[in-house]
Amino acid sequence: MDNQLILPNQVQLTKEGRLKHFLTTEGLSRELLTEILDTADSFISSQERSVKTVPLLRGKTVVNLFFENSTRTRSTFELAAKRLSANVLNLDIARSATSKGETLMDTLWNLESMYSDMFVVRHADSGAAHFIAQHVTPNVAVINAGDGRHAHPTQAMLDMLTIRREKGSFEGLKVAIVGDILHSRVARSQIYALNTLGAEEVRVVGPNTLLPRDIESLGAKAFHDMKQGLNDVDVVIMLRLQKERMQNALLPSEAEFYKLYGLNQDKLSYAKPDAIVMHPGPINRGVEIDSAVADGPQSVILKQVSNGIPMRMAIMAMAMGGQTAIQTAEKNQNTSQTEGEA
Amino acid sequence: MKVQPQNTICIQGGHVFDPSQKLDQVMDVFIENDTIVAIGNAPVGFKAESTIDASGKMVFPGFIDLNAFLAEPGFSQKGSIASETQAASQSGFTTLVSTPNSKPVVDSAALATLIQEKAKQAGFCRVLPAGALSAGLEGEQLSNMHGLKEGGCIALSQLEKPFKDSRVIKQCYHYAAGFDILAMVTPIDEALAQEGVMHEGVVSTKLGLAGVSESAETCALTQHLILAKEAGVRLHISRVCSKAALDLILAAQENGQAVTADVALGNLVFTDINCLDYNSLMHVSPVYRSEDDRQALLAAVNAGKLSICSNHRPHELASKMAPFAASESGISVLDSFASVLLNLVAKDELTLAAAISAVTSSPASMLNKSIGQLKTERKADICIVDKDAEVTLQESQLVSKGSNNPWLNQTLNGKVVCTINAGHVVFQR
Repeated sequence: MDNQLILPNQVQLTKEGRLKHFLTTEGLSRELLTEILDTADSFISSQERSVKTVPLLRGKTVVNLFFENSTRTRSTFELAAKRLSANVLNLDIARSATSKGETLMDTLWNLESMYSDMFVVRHADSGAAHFIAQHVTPNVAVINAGDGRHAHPTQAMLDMLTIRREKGSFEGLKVAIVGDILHSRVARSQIYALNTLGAEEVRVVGPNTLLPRDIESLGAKAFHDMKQGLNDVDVVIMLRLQKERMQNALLPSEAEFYKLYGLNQDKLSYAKPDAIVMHPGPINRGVEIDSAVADGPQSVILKQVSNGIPMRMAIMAMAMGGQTAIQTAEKNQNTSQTEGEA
Repeated sequence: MKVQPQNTICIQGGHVFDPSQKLDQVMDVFIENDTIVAIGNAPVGFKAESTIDASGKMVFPGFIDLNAFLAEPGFSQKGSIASETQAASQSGFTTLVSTPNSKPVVDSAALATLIQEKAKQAGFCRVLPAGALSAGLEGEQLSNMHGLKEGGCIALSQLEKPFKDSRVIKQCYHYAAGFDILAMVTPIDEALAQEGVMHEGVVSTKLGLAGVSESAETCALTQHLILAKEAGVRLHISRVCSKAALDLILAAQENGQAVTADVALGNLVFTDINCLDYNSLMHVSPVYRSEDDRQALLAAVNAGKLSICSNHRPHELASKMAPFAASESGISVLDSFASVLLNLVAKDELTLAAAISAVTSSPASMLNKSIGQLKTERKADICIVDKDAEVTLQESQLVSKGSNNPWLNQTLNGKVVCTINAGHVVFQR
């Protein structure tokens, strides 16, 4: 039909192509992703000062709207918002089986009536952040903190920040993402960001049962073997393996998974000697990664954690900037209209 | 002495079109009471009490829908027999097969009778209920099949609901075959479909939505075809959505099996690409598959192999105001059916003959009913259509209680101007 599709990557941009929400890394330009990385970089220096706050979000209210529990991600968002001088409200709304759209919409309407300026949303349904961005009143920025299996763009961007700080640039980089790609929103966001930023090759490594159908259409080469998959790569990103994947006939056993895909020193030796090892956390030692590697010299896992705060500051500041620009433009238009009438 | 007819209508100067009767020319249609008495020349002594000017319009048999959810009893927030049959009459429907998934489920003769009575009172469309094939649609026990048939059920359906095991399917088909009952199913292997909410493919991977694989459809279909063949039951596969499933059905037909099938109108229009913006209106059951599948389904309709049903599932606004997977599945179709169908003809995706047969003579023969044809001595079920008129349906014009109509504000080609059900003008504009 001739219906115009309103895609997530269009919903998140202003007419001028600036961020007003942050829902997905897909479809964002290299310039914009680079600007996000540069902005985050500038906040890293401010983090090292004794006074860590900047006044960019002073007077604004940020609501952390977590329909799925996550202490770690929520804490970094909270810290990031506070360092931008925002007021923060944390809401942990466990999603009950019966709660359908009504509950979500009611929650949103209630929060809107409290004049919030930004929602940081985590939800178990793919597309939830996109849905909320389309249905909240204008002037509220929506930041996707993870929606179902779809996207986790702030995590992907803090990973990009970590890679750029370690490797200097993305040119010529080969990156392997290993493990449960099927259920991973992080992997999808990483694949788009890496390709846009100019990585030479993005690979996904895992057993067929944990690779989604047609994954290569997203811009990643699929491998089932660690030796081939890690051969000559600059970056190894390990994904968390949920214990419940052992049921549902997805994997035979933890032992077999660890034997095939668990990252130990031996398998890491297939990669370039200066390859870095990353993990979005929390890690399962001895399931997807060996302690010696997780704590070893090539691991940048803790740096990812500290990069999480400046990256989330950058994204929140830029999205709020986009919302403010829209409001200013509307105000100017109204003023000029009134003047015209006068 | 001949009793003077109380109701006589002449439909004048319309282009009468019924491929099953090889009718394709401008002529008049004459109705006495509830029956067509002549097509072409007026019967001797015919005096028209009322005349409908159909010049420049097409005159078709009244449409037949094999799959409409009427939401009554049990779902008054979604619709009622009166509201949904009225919406149907505005799309030229004169007969609807209602689905058994009301609350309570249509697994008693009393309820089947009540639904027909309610439809008669409303007076827009003839409703032929499909009863439940298994008790409560639970897929565990046989329903009171013979009683349901006696109560006026035209067929017994399991919809896409799962059976507990293959033995229950076999027993249902064996029992039904003994009473010459038509069984309707939409085979989906529940385990393979898992929590799938859309077609499994590039788009589902991109969106991170769980997909329903083609094999979920074909594995279950194969099982149903084998068990139905063994039992000798008449089987109707409702809402085919993949080319692979279609091929299996056509092969079974070639082998002489008594199996028929239909496709939902939406599957001839939309594909998985339409899900790309997480539009919850594209969350339907069965799912919209690939463009290749859509093309194969269109070709099968054009070849006269498939009927077209509405798969009408009206919902209140709130049920679609949710993220894709959390929204209720289905779209409201009846308000727009005729325009969407004729628009497919305008876009050369369907031939006019195929489109009309697929909603008239073809479903009638699948139901084994003498309806859906322009023929003397048949019930005067007729719709008159301005094929080239543009229609843009606004939300305020919806007759169905369902607000989940994906064609709102779109301009389509083709508009029903009059619907006559058993000689009664039930809609005219």
